[in-house]
Amino acid sequence: MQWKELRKDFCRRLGCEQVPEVADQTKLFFWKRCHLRAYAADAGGGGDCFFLSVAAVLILARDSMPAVVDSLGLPPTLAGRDRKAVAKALRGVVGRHFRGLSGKAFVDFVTTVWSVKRLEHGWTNGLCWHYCESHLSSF
Amino acid sequence: MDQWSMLALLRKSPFEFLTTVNVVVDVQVLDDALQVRFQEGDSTVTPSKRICSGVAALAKLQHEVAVQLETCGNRHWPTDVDIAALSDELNVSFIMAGNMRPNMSVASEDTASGKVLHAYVGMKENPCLWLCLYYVDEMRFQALIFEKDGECHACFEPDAAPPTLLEKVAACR
Repeated sequence: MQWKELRKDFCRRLGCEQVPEVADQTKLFFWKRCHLRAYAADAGGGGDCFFLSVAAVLILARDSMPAVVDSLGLPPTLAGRDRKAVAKALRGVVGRHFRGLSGKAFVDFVTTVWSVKRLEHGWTNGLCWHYCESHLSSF
Repeated sequence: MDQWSMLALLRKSPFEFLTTVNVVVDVQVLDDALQVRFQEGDSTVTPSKRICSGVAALAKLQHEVAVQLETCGNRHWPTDVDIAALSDELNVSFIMAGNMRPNMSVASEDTASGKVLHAYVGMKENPCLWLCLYYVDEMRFQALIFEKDGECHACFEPDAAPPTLLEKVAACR
C-alpha cells in the first residue's frame, strides 16, 4: 500500500481527520533520530482535544491488543467505540485521581500552583517543578 | 481558557492562605481539624495554621476541584496535570511531541529531544502502554502517528515500541 493510502486508511480506522503534516522540526527529528515517519490526526476539540485524542487511540488499540487496553480499567464505553463517551470516562479518571489524593498531596498541588504563579510575577523564590506551569493559566 | 478559577474556590474555603505559602511542610489531622505547617516567602520559619473542621473543608475543596477537572468541554483545558493523572491511574505513559514547549520539564542533554519531545512529572518508565500525542500548541492536542515498515502506530506495547524512540524519550526525562 502506498504511504498516502496507508495514512488515509489508518486515520479512517482511527476515526480522525488527518492533518497535512506535523511541523518540519518534529518530522525531521523523528526521521533523522528515530527513523520513523511522523504525522498527526485530529480527533476533535472544544476543550477536550487531549481526551478525544487519547480516546481515539485507545478505541483503535483495543482492536489489536484487547487484553492490554481492557486491563486499564476503563468502563465498558471503550467497547462501544463512542469517542466522546470514552473521553468523558477519561475525564472521570482525572477527577478520581484528585479525589483520591491524600490531604498533603492535594495541598501540595494547590501550593505548587500558586508558588509558580508568584514566580511568574517575579516576587518570590519558590518551587517550580511539580504540577506544571501550563496549568497556571487555568487558575 | 478555563472557565473556572482555583482562586475563587480557595476564597470560598478556609484554605485561601495557601496562595501565599511556598512549601507545605506537613498536614496533621487533629480529630476533625487540620493543622498545616508551612513556609512563606524566603523565611525559614515554619508557622502553622489550625483549621477547624479542616478535614471536611479539604474534602469539599478536593471534590470541587475534581468536578471542574472532570467536566467535559471548555470548563477545563487539559494540561500536564491531566496527563500525569492519567498516567498514574492507568499505568500508561505518553510520548509527547511538539515544537512548542508544553510547559513541561525539558531537562535533557539531547537538546534536539528536548525541543521536540516533552517529559512530564510522573512519567512511568515501564507502562503497560505508550500513547503518542502531538502537542500542536497550548490550544490543541492531536494523535501522533508513526509509520514504520508499512504500518502505522499511535500507541505501542512496551516490547513493540521502537528502541530509538524510547531512547529519545528517556533522554528528555
